[in-house]
Amino acid sequence: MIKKVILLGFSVLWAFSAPSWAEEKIGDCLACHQKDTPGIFKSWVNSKHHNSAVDCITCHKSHEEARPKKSTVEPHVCAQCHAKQFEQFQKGRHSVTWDRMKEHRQYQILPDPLKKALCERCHNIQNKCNGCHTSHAFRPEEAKEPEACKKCHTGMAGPHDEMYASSIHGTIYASEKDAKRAPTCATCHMYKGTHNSSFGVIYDSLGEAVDKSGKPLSPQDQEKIRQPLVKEVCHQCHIPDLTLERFELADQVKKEARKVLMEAEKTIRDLETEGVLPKGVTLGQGQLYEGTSRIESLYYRMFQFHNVYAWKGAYHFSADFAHWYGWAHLQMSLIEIKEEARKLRELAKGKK
Amino acid sequence: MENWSKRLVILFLSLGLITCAGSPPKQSENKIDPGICMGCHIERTPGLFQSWVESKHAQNGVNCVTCHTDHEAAYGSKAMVFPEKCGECHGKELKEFQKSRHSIAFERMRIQGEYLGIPQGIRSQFCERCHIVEKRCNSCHASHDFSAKAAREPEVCGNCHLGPDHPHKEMYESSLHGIVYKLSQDPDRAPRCVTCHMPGGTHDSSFGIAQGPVGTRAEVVDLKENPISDEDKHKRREEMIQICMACHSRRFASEQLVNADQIKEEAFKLQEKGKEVIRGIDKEGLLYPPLSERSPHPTEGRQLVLADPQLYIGTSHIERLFFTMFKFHNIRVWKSGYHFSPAYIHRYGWFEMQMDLIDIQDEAQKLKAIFKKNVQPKGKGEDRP
Repeated sequence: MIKKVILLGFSVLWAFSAPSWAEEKIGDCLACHQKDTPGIFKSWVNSKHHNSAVDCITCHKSHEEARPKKSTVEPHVCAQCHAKQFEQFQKGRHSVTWDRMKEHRQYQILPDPLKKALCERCHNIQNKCNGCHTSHAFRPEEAKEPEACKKCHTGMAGPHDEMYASSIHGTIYASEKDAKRAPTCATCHMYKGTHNSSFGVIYDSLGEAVDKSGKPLSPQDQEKIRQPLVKEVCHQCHIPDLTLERFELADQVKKEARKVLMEAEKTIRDLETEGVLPKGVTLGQGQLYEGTSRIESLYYRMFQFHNVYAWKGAYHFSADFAHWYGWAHLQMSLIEIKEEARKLRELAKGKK
Repeated sequence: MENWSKRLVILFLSLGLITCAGSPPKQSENKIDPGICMGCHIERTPGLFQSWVESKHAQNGVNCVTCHTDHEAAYGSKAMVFPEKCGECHGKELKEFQKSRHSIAFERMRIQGEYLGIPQGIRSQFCERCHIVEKRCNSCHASHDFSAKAAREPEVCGNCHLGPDHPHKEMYESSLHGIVYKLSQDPDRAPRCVTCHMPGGTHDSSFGIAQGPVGTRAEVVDLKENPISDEDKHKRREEMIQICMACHSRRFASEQLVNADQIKEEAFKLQEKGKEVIRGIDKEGLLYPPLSERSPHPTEGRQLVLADPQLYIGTSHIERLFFTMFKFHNIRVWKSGYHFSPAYIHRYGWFEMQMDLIDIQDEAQKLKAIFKKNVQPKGKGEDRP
């Protein structure tokens, strides 16, 4: 506490005496914000930014400019100092999340207030570095912890946090808290601090091998992307044979899961052909979770949740997700879809 | 930082070499000198090397070849070191381990119908990843520092003991025991998994378990799958009560455990209701696909299997509804009874079982209403082709 008071005193003194800034402006900010938003002020005072003379107006420009866009500071502003990180960031999928979301039909038909509270809360990472480096401390140490990724990478659509936590990697890290003993998310996905979080990753969220603009990756490209992850990261602790075997096994899980998914799709397409379902049913990519038939909604769960758990669980070495939440649920959903198809057929017969 | 750790490594290495030169370890004759391993592995697998350097093993002169024997042997078995090897030094622990269900985990898995129903190529990504505990001590004592301290943390048990089919981790975390431990990080304040299941550091993790240790079965069995005697049951219960008595009175502890026994009975009674409905549907010939058109169960043949070892693949929907009821929800009810998690006994367990029963009854009604006209009910004795 005393330390904080001293720091605060010093920083205020410093803030008012440092000649390198536009004194009046920072003084203007602090005059109110020290009282009005003491939390923000304190985290800034204790930050590296503060120590390096980066203040409110360095990033927010001026009060007038900050207000209309609700004070959001976009990545290109951060890039004025952190150019390398910005360049890396733009190579990864994080840099297209907002655009992709905007194109998605499910997003487009959501009521406006829901859009904000639901999708945008995570997909805005394209527009703000403080999605991970939280304001106003912006500490890299915090951003490296698995919890920082968890804010978005958790829950039904992408339980990466849960997969990691139930893998041997996550287990060791949880019990020993030592990133040299076992990898964190950043160890593999942001190797050596790269801000290209798609490092080593071949697939998009639905398991398609495409680049960040959606263009298919050739098998050679895929190999080129995976190799650095395998060689530089996995090999720190694992011998090459074992590492490759693990990845190949995960590839196989992905293939087997896709087969189950295809069988379900065929069951529904057959109904379409027979005239039991109307023509033009959307399955998989672009499918909505509202206003469809029940059999389509069963498929939605399969492709959006269970299939993803099976294959992503395998790449994260979580048997619990790959098997129970993934594979077993895929199989159980397939049973349900087949039964639903049979009932629909029988009921349609009655109508004829 | 990196420089610092490299220096430390070199220091340790040279200390190691000095020690080796002074008093050669027993196994150095005819075996690869550890220096040869390290020559490559310090570069190739630095993480692995670093954790060994920091381990008790390194301090006590246990190096690569002590456990992996030599490069060729290690290669062949993909570098796996089996418990018998660890038992050469840790004899007491191995003996205790062999009394536990951990020691038959792989064997039991290999004859399980569910396992056999999974495409062979991917089994190792699923079941084997945990059931391998029979064959490797480093399931809990993670390579290569094999820390005993770390292995005592609930997170380590949670690596396998979690998820839909046996959420021990989640039950513990939502129990008062788990919450107090999380807040205090002090095993004297509240028990961790090992406090009750491996007291005094025993490696017999089946210690004190007096009720149905095997997944979804009601009865308690020994390692050879024979039901245990009442006397044995009583002895095990008494052992567990002794653990509880570190904090609770005998009366309170035994009351809680008896209450859990009663919860278990109720859950199995409820499960029977689900079975009855499905047996009725089977009698009326309404199961789809019919048993005669399915590939036979890998261990039970062509018959209706309800509860263990029921499959989640290729059954009728009404059976699949029952699968969820017995495999996920019943287990949560009764196991949470013993782990004192009201959320898992009630919301995730009992509540879900009741909802399952509604679904099963509703499905039965629909099957009758939609398909009954098409099929002839089975006569007695016809339901087992």
